[in-house]
Amino acid sequence: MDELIEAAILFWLPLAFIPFGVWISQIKSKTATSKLGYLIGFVGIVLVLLSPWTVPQSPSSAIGHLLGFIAGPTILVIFGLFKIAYSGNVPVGRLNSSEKNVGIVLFSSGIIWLSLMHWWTITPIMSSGEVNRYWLIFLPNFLISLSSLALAGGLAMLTFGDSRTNESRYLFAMSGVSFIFLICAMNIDSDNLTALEFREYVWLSIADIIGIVIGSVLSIISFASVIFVYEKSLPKPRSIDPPKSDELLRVAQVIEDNIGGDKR
Amino acid sequence: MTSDNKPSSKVVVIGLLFPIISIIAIDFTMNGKIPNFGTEDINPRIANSALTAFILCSTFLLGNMFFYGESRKRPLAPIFGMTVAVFVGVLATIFFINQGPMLLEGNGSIRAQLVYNISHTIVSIIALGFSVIITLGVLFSTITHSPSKIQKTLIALEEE
Repeated sequence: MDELIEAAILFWLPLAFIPFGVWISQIKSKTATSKLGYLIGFVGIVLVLLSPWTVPQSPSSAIGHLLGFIAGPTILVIFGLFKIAYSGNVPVGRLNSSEKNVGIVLFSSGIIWLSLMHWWTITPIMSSGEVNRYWLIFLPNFLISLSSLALAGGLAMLTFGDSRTNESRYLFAMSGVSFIFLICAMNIDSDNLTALEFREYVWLSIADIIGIVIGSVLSIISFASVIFVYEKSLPKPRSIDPPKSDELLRVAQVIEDNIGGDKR
Repeated sequence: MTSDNKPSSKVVVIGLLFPIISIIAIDFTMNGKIPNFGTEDINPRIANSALTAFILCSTFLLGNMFFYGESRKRPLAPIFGMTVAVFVGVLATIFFINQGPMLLEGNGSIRAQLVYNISHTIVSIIALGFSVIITLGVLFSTITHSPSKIQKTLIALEEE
């Protein structure tokens, strides 16, 4: 089979299955359709994860390789955060308070695992012996966005929240740790990657983020302008006359009849 | 700062940009220029990334335009939205191509570049999504583990 068609059938089609499955699974009116959606999504994920073996010659299969490598730490981090959050003061679905420590262990293990994937020998390396180039895109993007979002989140807590200084400190710490990690990785060689190579990818990631922001803003402006023109062309809604005094009295009477309490 | 010692909302936007600007400044100060790496490598990435993000974001928004058109009884809204998006997309592409032969990065053909752009953007979005999950998770965890305002008020009342 042609390499391109093979990649389309064994990688791109399963990749498209994932959002399609999620979309179908949200149709709650029919249970069978919802279950079918989950099944399609699951099959898509499995086929994408298997792509380094099913289509090893396709450069796109490196995404499947990357997803396989980051699946473990990602699950640990998400599961850890879930346990920490739901062992606290939540009105429904509250877990035992001891689950907080389990959550902290899981979260820390996930973060350490991710860190070791850069610094130690467990870096995602392709069968050709090269470091997976999508890992080199993922890590700087992840660290830069985590650093920016955590800092902005901490500042938002101080700006919009009420007495949230203590909570914002955790976000500042998270931002600081990812920032220091990034600076260290840009200056110290790891087992599989030189600091110089990492610096190049950090600069490319910054370019990537700038591009994504420009593209997204352009797109939003394009569609917002259409909505703006349509909304402006809509006729004003017909206003009704203000209530008359006898109507107001009637309303007051109804309220008085329905709300109890002592009369002054 | 505002009068009640709270930072203004502009600080939040600056907070988003601050780490990026700091990384550029610190790296340039500590290590200087990267050998054989410059604007000729960075500009194509910005151009490709902007165009791919534009296409993906427009596709998503076009889907929403169908719902908008249906709810507002404006069946032509998606078509107008698409026309404006195509117009802006063509203008942006012409602008980027006029900056030089920049749309092909290290890839040999347009098809290879197209596939690389989509893969690259998917990985970037996964990285961004994962960082959003961690930030919101930490935020939610700290909020659920701090004493609620009702508890704080009760403690204050008891102390009085």
